Amino acid sequence: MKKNWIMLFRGMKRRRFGSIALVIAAAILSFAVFGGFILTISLKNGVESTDKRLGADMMIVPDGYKESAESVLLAGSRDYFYFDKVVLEEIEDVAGISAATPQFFLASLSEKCCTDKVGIVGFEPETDFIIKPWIEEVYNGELPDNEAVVGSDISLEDDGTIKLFGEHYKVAARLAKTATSIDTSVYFTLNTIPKLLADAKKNNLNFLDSQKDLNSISTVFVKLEGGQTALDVTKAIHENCSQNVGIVYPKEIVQSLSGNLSYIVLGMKIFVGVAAVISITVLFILYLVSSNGRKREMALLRAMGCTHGRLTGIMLEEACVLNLTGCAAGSVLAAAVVFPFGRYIGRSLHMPYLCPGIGIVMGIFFGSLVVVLLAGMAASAYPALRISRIEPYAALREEE
Amino acid sequence: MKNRITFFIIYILIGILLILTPTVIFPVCEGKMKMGCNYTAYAELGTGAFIIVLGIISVFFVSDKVRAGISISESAAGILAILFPTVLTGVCKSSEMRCHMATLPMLVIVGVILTLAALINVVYLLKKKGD
Repeated sequence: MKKNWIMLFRGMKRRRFGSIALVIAAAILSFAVFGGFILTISLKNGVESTDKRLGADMMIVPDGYKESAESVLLAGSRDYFYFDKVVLEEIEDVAGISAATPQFFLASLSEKCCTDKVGIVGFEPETDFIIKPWIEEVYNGELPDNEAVVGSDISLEDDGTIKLFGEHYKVAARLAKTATSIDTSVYFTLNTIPKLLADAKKNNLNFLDSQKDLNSISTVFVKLEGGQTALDVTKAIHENCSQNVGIVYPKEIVQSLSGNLSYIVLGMKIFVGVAAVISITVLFILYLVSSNGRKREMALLRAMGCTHGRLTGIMLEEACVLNLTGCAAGSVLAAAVVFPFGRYIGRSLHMPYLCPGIGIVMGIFFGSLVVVLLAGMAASAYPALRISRIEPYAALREEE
Repeated sequence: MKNRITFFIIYILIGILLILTPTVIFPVCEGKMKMGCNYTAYAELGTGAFIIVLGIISVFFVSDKVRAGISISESAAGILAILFPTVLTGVCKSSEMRCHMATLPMLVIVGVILTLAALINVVYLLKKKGD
């Protein structure tokens, strides 16, 4: 057995360039399959997470801030806008609305980091249906005033607190990664916002007058009753509100993201398909050329008593080792691209990007391993069978 | 000779890549205020230049022992290339910044490749000497 492996590796070393070419072809196939799958699943996860995060049918914002609101929801930008709290009461009176909850946006420079604008969001725990489902995943019970729930990308102080406007706040929980603006936000109850503003004032940080107004809110998220259309309720909201408001439809944003995703997935399928066809063709040609160049070696083995089956086995064992090496190399290369640069890729595509868990990654790795191995074995099967049927005498004469 | 030329090319390419990463490929943040990523970029420029100089020097030495020594220095430079953005000077803390999302992983990957390649060459050269 050991002798077989030594013979196998010596043979591959002797045909160094051929072996390297086969490994490269398998690596390209593996790179395309593993990298393509991880990228596609991460983008799908991102869109699903955004869909969950935008758990409202409508987002009511001050007039003229629709684009800013979309940017806050998707890109995590730190725009802030305000209208009077009375809008909430007016919206609650509109027929066809099952739930409405306010949020207050405040941007800050976290002192832990000189470049990161942390989004401070005040929410109302009693009515909230936007952030609460995320908080409930990691924290049981009601969030107390003066305590924060932070997104996954927020830097904390060494003692586990968050320092905002010169004051330390206890962190009740850290949310799981969502690939949305939640990751870079800090959540407080609305009752804590006056204290935050007072802290800011104490530290000589100036805010707009509208930000200091404790009767202000930034947005109202609305959930519709079953059977109600957004169009009807939109009309009623505009009629009922005493001031002009803008309405963002989160579902439309998700639909637009899903549309983009389907194009990206199609592009990815074409890329993987083309890479697979080219790699398998190259593998087939290389195995065919390699088997033709080994006629003498195989004829001698046959003359020494090697069976047809054993000759086929030698060829397939070699193909298996080369394919596995190529697959490992291709997967490592793909992992070096899609994991560290995933967010950058997502940002470049204007899509949310959320990597799958380790279990799914391992599943995709082993799946791509099987696909590449099967493709490689299929490409080498015909040349292996062809060379195993060699007639020793005729082959040796031909070689002479 | 083959080893000398191969590693001369590898060191030169990695040195150039290290210089280009924070300046051209994934430029670090720009602004009036100097941030960690700006200092990292300066440090990587110096490290990249150092790697290129060592690569050029190594091609002139026939002795395997001397070239193994140069490769040890190259691997140390590779470790430095990793430490600058991760520990020593750092990059912007915000995971939304390009220097955090792209420059940092790229510098780490280039540093790891340099360190591994240089260490493999050290082992190869010392083993060859032993033979």
